[in-house]
Amino acid sequence: MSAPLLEIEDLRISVATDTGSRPIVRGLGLRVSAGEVLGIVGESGSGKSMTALAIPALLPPGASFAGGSIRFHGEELTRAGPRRLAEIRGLGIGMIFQNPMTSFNPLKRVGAQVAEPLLLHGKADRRTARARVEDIFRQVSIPDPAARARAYPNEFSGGMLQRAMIATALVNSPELVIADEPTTALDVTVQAQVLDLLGRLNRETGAAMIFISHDLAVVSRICDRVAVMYAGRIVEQGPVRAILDRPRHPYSRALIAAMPAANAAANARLQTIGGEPPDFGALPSGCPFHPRCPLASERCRVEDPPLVADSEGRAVACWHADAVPPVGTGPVAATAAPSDVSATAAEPILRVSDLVRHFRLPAALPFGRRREVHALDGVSVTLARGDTLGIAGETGCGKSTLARCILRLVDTDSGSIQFMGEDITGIAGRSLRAVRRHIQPIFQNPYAALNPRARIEDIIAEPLRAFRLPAVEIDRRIDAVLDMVGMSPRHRKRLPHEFSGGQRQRISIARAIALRPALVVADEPIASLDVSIQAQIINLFTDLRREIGFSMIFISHDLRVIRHFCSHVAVMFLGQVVEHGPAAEVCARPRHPYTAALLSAVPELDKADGKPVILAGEPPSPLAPPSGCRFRTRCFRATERCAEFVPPLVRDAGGRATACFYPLETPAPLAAVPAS
Amino acid sequence: MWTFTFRRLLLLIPTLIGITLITFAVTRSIPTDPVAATIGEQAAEHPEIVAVYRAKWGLDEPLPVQYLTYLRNLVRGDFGDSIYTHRPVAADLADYLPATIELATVAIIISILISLPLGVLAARFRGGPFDGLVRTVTTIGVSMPIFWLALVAINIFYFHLHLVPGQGRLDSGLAPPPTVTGLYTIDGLIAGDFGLVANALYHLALPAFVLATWSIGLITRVTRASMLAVLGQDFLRTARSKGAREPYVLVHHAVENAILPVITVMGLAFGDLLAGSVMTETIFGWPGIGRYAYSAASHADFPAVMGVTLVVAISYTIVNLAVDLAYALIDPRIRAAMS
Repeated sequence: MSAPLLEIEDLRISVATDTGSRPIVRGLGLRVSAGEVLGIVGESGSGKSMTALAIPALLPPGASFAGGSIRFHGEELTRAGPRRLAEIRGLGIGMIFQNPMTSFNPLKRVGAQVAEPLLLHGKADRRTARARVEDIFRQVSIPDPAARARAYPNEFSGGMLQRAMIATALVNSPELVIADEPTTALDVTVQAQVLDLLGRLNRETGAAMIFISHDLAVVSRICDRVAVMYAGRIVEQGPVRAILDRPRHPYSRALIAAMPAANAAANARLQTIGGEPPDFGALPSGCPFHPRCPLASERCRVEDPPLVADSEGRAVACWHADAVPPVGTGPVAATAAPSDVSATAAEPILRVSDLVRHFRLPAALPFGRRREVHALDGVSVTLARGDTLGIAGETGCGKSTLARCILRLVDTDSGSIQFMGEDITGIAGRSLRAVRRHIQPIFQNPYAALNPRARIEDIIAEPLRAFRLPAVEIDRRIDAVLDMVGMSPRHRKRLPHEFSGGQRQRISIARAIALRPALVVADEPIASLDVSIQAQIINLFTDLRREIGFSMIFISHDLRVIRHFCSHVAVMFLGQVVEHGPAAEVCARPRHPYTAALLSAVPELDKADGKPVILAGEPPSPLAPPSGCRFRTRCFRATERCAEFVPPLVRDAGGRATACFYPLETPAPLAAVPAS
Repeated sequence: MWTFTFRRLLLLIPTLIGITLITFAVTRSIPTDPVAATIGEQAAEHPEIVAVYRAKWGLDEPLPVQYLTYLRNLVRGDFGDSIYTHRPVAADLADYLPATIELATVAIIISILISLPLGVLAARFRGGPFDGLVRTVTTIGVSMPIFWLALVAINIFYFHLHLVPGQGRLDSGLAPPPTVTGLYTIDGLIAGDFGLVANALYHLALPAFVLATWSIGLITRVTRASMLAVLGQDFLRTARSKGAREPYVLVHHAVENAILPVITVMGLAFGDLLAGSVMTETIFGWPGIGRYAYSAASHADFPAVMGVTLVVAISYTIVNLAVDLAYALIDPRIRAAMS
């Protein structure tokens, strides 16, 4: 075995807080060999990004190196001065950051920024740099390199800008690339493109890579080895396949089990990790995972287990590594889930027909042209009483606008929304208030959704007071709903900032169900939560629906979750529904090429070997949608017909509807009945 | 960019009409009778004398007609005659305005040259002794009354140190250069008289510095705050990850991003310098528009007041336009939003 390219030993990083310095990385060791791709996985606060930033000494203010060693090519980086570090950064080590939109200087041309490492390290002059930038743009598949190099960051899409970021990291052919959550800010189909690109570049250039992510499935697509971090340390590391197939640390096992698997029974309970990721200010004694661990023993409470390597190149830090059960079995048995009562006969609780909503952008100038965002262009969906309808799609597809229209938070241009048989499209005043009682929202960001100055009991009581429930009843219900969402009624008097993201989302849910609504509209309710918390919230929804029996619209960009949780799904693309039907069937046998691409783009643990369908090109702009079928510019089956005519949403006898001239799997007679 | 400039210029028309309407309305709603103010109390007791003046100035017409007459005259460059100086207001303005423009311009240049580096460095070394010093000094600069500062400065630099000349725009023996712009420095350069340019700058130095203290404080603080916001941005980390060292990061990435809000404040400060230098002009004997406005106001010289107000408002509008154009020039996102 050759000498490692990068060797980290006993790395310690502290973060300054109001109450003094707290360790966030606590003795981390890892090695990266030339050409290797190492994944680092962990939840927020696990210290994975701090580790990545510490390598080129780019820790943010407040975080500081507190001990240990980082050797790059045998050279100790922790003792290197600013001049030496500047020589290494951008030449030996390239960085790719999470959010490409904020990682570029908005006032400089992209080409000039990509060329900076060349000029700073004296690898090219201005003229040769230009040619080199165009070369590297071609390598990362940025079309029309000369023109794109002259453009500014605001003229790039997120995906294209991330390619430019990758180009910047690679332009000096570094031996090591550190990518910190490089696809987290991107849409799934774009994420698939970027992962594919990173994998190809690793093979072509032989650059080693450290790939940081919160998503084990993303890591499994690209990495050779993976290190799982928890509370500032590596708890398990080894070859990706080995860890996915047979995790030896209870935490890695739980992370794998918490992901909705493709073959799992729909609506089965997800296995969760109890509790919350630890607060690095107050780590538990012994093994920091012990309060959440089903295997924890007395020893775990006292002694922190060391990371012990075995003969197969794996290492695990657990006293009970041999007792960790395989994934798919285990202490949390899959309980039977509520089957949806609907099936066919039930009267729909919600029927959205041909909904249109365009937003007119304010003119940039007086007398200027005003542009229109086609947020919703003829959307029809139905939801049967007791069902859950998942709405899937990428940024800009109109899924959030649809939610707001149904909640009557924004008006519609045309079309109708029928709720419990009543047309609520144009109602206002008293009758709208009456409807509001039965439709309640849950929003994505639990930090922004709760008034920071209101006590929990006031947040939950607000809708109850609005509908003038008796005080005694309000008081009783606050305790009841807090209990239902797994929070203690003792928390009533506290303020939102005293709770974690997952707990706040529970509070939002408590507020939403306090009125006992018939319909809950949840807009990306788990997207901003950690993986282990996501599973808890999904299980909570399942339990609550069994207990109270509300119908639900569940908006998500993640088809994995929708397939698991929802009975039906509507896939949206650029303001239109392209496919609609029972979730299990649609996900198992997608008919619309976009659904297929979306499913394929979602990284899954159990199809890491499969070659994903990668969509070419960029999502078109909702300001100027393409003619005919809006998906045609990215579609692998598009013909001239798709450009000329709009494919109608055609419903078949089995309750599935598809808007495509060339569906992937033609079912038994395609009934040419326009969707309602 | 050209379309934008053209459209912004078009937008000047309604703005200017609005300004004239307001100055007209405000001046006419002041209870002071301009006729009485002009001819004196004794003459004002004779109705026939008053009637002659009222007819002469069109005060008997209905207000809309008066306004239209006023507007038509404005377009011809006729601001009316000053009741106090008995000269055309336009001629008065042509005499006094360049002195103020020259003083304000030199003051804003001084402020920018001092404030930008101070603000940038204070932000870069936030919390350090330099930052503390800058914050203290700028607080004093913003809070010091300008008349007091002017008197102290004259006392020290003129009476004690004899470093600066006395009142006026030039030494008393010197004749102004042939008028082209009315700015002595520029006209002196045009005439090729460098001795005169030096003398004009010599006379400008102290009043300009005194006038600049307030805007130095303001612009430094805004620059510092804006820099602090930019210093936390992701793209600076990106620049460091490419191998850029701190001075390069600061100069090539941070400053240009911090400059936008600073430009707005510079524009506002310059507008203020143009309009609000009454005190400085009085103390330094500077024959500028501030002093002219003061005497016009105290004599109820409403054509002169309207003229000054209009000129100041137009200056503000032009400075604003320049600020907007500078924004578009610097920020491609603003250009994109406009096209």
